[in-house]
Amino acid sequence: MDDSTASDEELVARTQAGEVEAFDELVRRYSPRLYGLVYNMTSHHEDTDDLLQEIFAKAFRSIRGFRGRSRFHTWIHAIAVNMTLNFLKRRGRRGMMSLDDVDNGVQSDPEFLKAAASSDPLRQVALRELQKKLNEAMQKLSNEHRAVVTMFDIQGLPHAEIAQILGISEGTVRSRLHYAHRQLQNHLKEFMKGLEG
Amino acid sequence: MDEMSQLRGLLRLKAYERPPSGYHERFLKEFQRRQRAAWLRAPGLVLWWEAFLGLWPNFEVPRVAYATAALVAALAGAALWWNPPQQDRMATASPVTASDFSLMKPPVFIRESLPVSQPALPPAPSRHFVLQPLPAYHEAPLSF
Repeated sequence: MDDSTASDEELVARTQAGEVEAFDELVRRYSPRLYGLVYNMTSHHEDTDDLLQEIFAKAFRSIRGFRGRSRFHTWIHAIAVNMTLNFLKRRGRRGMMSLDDVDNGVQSDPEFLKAAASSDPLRQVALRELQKKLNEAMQKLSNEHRAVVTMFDIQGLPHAEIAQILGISEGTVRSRLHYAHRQLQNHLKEFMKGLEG
Repeated sequence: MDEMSQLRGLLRLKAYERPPSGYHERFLKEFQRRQRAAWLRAPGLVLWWEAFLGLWPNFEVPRVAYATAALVAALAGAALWWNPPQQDRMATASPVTASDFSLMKPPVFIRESLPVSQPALPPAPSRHFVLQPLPAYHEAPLSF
């Protein structure tokens, strides 16, 4: 049977029955999405890589306990967000990461590069600079606010699912988003004006 | 375009950020390698326990189990604290050695006497003794 066409639920059931290859397909399917989630919360490629390994290892160990009360998508996102928040707390205790450490080395998607190249060079440079500033502004948010912005604005998850992942109410998700957007606007005000010009 | 829409547009661009090409394939291989290594490193007891749990895939520890166990332990601890078990003195006494005897003082015997109230007796009649002129055992001296 072709694993790539199987549903998440089917792959989970097969993993629970002891078929390890079914979990490999889940890793293949979810690693790009979870990479985006963790990377935008940590802004660090090596940390993201290590964390992602731990996240999938934990999911594999815990998959017998998955009862299907929520979607697998929600379940694995909850593991990823909780482990990343714990990691960021530990990193915070060890000493705040300097903004100089923010990783801007992750390659952009070719689709994005094509879109950026189509505009004029000055605008392209401004856009790159703005992306860098955006990463820095994201790092200035609290971990919880950054998690909500990452899931809603970057990953496009609905409020209800974010609430389920974080175990909070939808109202709290909305208020965190509102506050985080205000903070980001304040940090990026000058650069956004420059982009308009 | 208002500032909020502009900000959201910028944030959406971050969705295009990708790790270096081929990263995800390498990631899966590394995951499989680590899983195998962890499996080989795991002590036999852990493997046995995981296999044992696998026999009951639907088994779930009740949510209140840990809380109940903690409560029982706390109650047992509190009960012991309030009412510690009587220890047998003989059981806890250290064995006597020869040096203990050398250091030992001679035992002091204290005669224990308890005051006993005696019933009042009638006064005893006054006695007097008369010495006999001869001893109680007397034989006449032999005469030849």
